[in-house]
Amino acid sequence: MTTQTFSNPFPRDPVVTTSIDQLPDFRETESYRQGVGIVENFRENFPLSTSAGMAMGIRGRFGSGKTHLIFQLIAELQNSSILRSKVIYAKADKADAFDLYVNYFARKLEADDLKNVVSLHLAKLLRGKAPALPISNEPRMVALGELMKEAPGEKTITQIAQEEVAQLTDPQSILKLIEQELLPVSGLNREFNEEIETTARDLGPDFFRAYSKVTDPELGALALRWIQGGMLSNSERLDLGLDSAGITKASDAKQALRFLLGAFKRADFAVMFCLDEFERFSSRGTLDDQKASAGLLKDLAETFKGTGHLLVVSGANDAWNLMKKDVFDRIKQADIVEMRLSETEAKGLLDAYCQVSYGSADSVFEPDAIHLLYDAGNQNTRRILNLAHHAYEIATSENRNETDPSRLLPIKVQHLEKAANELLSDSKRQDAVEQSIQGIALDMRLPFQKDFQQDSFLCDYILGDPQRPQVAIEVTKSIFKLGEVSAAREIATLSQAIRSNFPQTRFCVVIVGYSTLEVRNELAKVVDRVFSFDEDSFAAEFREFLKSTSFQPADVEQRLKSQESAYQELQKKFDQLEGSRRDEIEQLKRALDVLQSGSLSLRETAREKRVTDKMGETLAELTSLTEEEESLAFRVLSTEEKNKSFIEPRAKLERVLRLIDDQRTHLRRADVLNEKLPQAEEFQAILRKLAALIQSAEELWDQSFAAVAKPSFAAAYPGQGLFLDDTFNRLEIRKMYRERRDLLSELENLHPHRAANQVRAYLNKVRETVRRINLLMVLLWLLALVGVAANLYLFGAAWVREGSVASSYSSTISYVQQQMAYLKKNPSSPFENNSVEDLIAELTRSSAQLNSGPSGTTYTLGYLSPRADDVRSKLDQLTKDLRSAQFQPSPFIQSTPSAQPVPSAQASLSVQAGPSIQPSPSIQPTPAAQASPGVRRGPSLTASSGATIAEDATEVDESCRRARDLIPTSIDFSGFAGAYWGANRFPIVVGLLPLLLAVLVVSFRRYTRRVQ
Amino acid sequence: MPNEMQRLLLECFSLVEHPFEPEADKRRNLNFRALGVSLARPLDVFRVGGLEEYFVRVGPFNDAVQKIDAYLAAQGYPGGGNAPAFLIAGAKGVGRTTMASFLGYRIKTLGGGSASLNNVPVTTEHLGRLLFTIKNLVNLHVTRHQIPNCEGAFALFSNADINPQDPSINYLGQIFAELAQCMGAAPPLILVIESITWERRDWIARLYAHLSPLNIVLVFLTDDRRIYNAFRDLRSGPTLNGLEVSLDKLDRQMAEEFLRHRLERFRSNQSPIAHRGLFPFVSQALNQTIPPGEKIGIKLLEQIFRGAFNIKLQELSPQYLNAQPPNPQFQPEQLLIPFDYLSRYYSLALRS
Repeated sequence: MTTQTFSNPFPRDPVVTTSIDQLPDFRETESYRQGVGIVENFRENFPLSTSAGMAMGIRGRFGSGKTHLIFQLIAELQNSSILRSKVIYAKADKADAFDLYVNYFARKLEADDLKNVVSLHLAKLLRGKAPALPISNEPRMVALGELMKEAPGEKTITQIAQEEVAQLTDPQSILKLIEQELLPVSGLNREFNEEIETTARDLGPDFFRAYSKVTDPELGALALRWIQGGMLSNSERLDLGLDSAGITKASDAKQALRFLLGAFKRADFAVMFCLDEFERFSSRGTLDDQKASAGLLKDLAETFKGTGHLLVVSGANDAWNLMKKDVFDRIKQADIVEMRLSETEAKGLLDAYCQVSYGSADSVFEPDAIHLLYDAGNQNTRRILNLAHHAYEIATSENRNETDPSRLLPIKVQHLEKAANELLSDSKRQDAVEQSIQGIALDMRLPFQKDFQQDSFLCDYILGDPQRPQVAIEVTKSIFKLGEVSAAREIATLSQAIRSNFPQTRFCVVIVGYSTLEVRNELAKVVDRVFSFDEDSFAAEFREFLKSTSFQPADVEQRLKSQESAYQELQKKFDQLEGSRRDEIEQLKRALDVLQSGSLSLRETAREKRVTDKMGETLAELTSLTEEEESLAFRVLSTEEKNKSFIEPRAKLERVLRLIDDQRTHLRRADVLNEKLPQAEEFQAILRKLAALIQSAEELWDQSFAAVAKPSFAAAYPGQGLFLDDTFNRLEIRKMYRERRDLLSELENLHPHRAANQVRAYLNKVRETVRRINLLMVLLWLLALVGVAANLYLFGAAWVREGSVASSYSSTISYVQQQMAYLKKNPSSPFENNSVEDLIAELTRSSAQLNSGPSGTTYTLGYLSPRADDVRSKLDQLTKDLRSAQFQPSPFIQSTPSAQPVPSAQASLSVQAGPSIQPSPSIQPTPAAQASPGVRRGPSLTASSGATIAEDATEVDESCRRARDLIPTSIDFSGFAGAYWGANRFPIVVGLLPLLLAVLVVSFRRYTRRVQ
Repeated sequence: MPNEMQRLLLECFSLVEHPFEPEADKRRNLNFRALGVSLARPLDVFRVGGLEEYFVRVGPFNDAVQKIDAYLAAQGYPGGGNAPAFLIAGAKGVGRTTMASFLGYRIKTLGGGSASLNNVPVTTEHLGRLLFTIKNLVNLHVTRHQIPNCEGAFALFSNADINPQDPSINYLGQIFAELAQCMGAAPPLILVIESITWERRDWIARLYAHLSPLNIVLVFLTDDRRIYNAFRDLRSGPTLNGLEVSLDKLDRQMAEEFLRHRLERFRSNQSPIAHRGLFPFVSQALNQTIPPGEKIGIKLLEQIFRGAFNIKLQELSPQYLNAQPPNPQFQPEQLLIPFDYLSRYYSLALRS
């Protein structure tokens, strides 16, 4: 039997440094939503060549999650397969543009980054290359049909090249293709150089010269070094053809930054520069840095916004508070995200961490404790988690042997208060370890050395002779589950190094951070002692340990041997542990995802709405540009023609090419916007077609210009301007533009509407809900519901029927009694046999319904049956007597002799829910019939027969009275329920089985969750 | 080449050799392999004059050759005076290297068969380094042709004085000036400078000033049209004597001419009529490879033809392996190379 252990669900001191992979990613905050909104906006607008960049800020207290948000935003930007991006994360210590450029920007750019940028730039130029179209000597005779039609599978070499390049996943492949001269288009490098030269026009030629050598196999490394701020020797400088040996001044650095960002933009390669903890220089730096910090931020914001990229500046509140208005003119207040957890968000955060093991924070904390946690946490993520971690430790440490968390939890207010008090001194825990060790070493007259290093061997402290240390001590402080295993691995490795370098040395580990018994036990196998730091007991324990450190040689040998074998085992164990921890983290992340899916869905809806609007703008813009281009293409449509004021052909060509460039830009934006919309593939296919047509159009314009520029044409049509329909068949040009318009219409039609999005969002919500509560469980619960409902229905139906049968039976008996009463008083009236037989039949039916039993129709009324049989037998007798009765003729009478009012059986039966009994007209004289003249009475009985009949009727009446006395006025529920259960045990159980199963599954899950 | 392949080429295509990568041309007594040349690379006509046979003078090549011949005839070069400079403009892969080699070959032929040609790739923006490299090449030229009285010039400054890492242009200039005395009447040295960018445009005049008195013919390659114009302006003035030519890609007509020419060179004498012209290439394939208005550089074009032809050979060759006479019979259409082969090869080449 194994003892079930449970662990602290909260991380200790969760500081994000380089990534958020090891910590669950909580996104359910307003800050996150605001930040992501800004990044999404940036991403959606970036493809526009004229798009302004963004400068956003993040502010908050220490530990409020600023860095965490930065990494979340980074992940958000990189969550695009279409937009290429480079993210640079920096923590600068000086407010110096040169230092920032060299140490935190340029050096983060690797050779591959720059090669990728060059490659993407070349690929972009290649996309803009269209197959050349013919220049005819007879300009008006050129047919476009062949050129415009698409023949699948018959692509030209240029088209094949364009398609293959578009599919290249490694951007640098295009460089190889160019190097191998495998592309059918030429001049790409020249065009690239011209564009870069334009970018560098105002910045000095050196940037262009160096950048254009980045892909040069001989000079690329030198160029990179120069760009990164390295200094070149004179010959190296001359090799690159540069005027300066390096970027040495802040002004050069600013220009270099602007140049590089410009080059990235030309290649459609987004840059996100994250400057974290700017308080390092703005409020904690030197006086000079503090003075320069505002200027630096302003410059950065201007540069990034001016070049179309994204700047993220993050800092503590005090740093932001020092900034003046002119900084906020560039980094708008609306673009500054304040990191602050609302109480609901804090609760959500705690819930997220508790989700896997405990269901929710409510299971872990008392309600008052949660409020206190929020107050003490001061809206600060790190502090809240820290407090929660410590409070949990305190609460569970009260009885460490307890394995059932329900007996230790919930965490109470006093635990939290204690945790808050302890936390304040937490930063001194490591110092306390050091002081303890140093003090004890002094007492015991042992040499003490901190940060001991010998060759590649490093250790926090050693005691004793450095050549032959007596004790080596390593202090470790891990964060959370995975960090713990990773730290333990390092210790295990260190123990190996100690064993090989200093076999006589005892090695102990002091853990001041997160640790579990499991890992401590494992570590104890490869080190001599593991201390879990406790201020109260550590000194005594450590002193005791030191006293026991003298060994006999035999002991040393045995110790080494046992530790060696344990080490091998340990690595395997750690692998397993890491695997399970990873699973735990994954589980936690999944739980978070589920928790956050609701708001994610809302966010997605908002995003879709925004993207949809932008797409609408882009399509409208494309339509307008196409129309403008078209209006320039036809002489007949042109205002130039009407006004006879023709634009000079070259100027017109340039204008058209600008329009075409704008269209390409919008196409690119549409491509980026389209990425996460529904029907993206279909949409993209149309975009590609449109791009191909635009390319063709560009080439047509080029060719048309070339034709117009020919002397022969100029001579034939002097000063007539540039029009496509002069050079090409007008109908086919029309067709081309119509195709483009059609494609745009198709895009507009396909473009998802908001209403559809809302429906989809709703469906998503439903889907998410179903997913969250697990589809199988939903089905099981549905089945259980059906089972219970079916049982209830059947029970209810049987109950109603029981009542109804009783009532019906009662009516039948009453009816018989009425008939008998009538017969007794009028024994001489003609009473037909078959009327009595009808009564018998009615009675038989009622009697049959009274039968009880599993196959019967009633459950508690069976006992009435004998009485009914009795009445029936009496009626049989009456029938016999009626058959043998003697009659004498009777006169025609006008009305009934006694004219007694007889209750109408029909009236009384009409309110009964029982079977419909229609009395025979002969024994049911309605008032109308009684009063009506001309009714001929039948022949009357003889006296003896009449007496016999009356006697029989009296007996029947008596029998009916006895039967009637037994009829219950209401059905006994318990009796009925018992009889029902007895009769339907099997179907009831079958119906309730799914319910039982569902309850069992839920209980089991809860149990396993607790066990975990 | 294995016998099976030769049989296949001959029997299926009436070709005596692989037309794009032949090992030899027995009819012209050329063993490409032994000579270290290949028709799949730029033609080294300068070194192996016999390759002139494969230099197809179509379109821009024809124009360039005519201009060069006319220019050399008009200048009477080689035959005294400063060496001229040439500029060959055109994108990579349009045959600039072959053209430069042909130009060198023409000069060599006119000069009695004695000349040297060196390609000088420019790997630096440092003119001194280029001049230093050229100085070493001149030294080789002097040694090879045993040009007398040049030792003194080379001894003016040692390499250490010049400093190969950051060579002194001044010292090198003095050496070249001194060399002009002994090299003026020596066999020409042709240097193909690849390539001149806009940033290096000043080098043309400077190199010319240093080297043309040494009877060094400078052939500049460039893909920048602006350099072409600058060179034209320069040689129109008094400082430079030279000629610029421009190469371009081939259109469909030119490509057909090139292909027909290449296949004819290796067609067997007894080839049936059906196996002449562009066979096995389908004429339509050319229309699709180079649709009206499009052009393709000769290097890529040759590569695509070669690749498509090799795919066809690969398809047919298994049936020839170990086949005993009579040889396998193919339907005529099985031998044809439609556009599909060209596009397939091209896609493969791009992916690999």
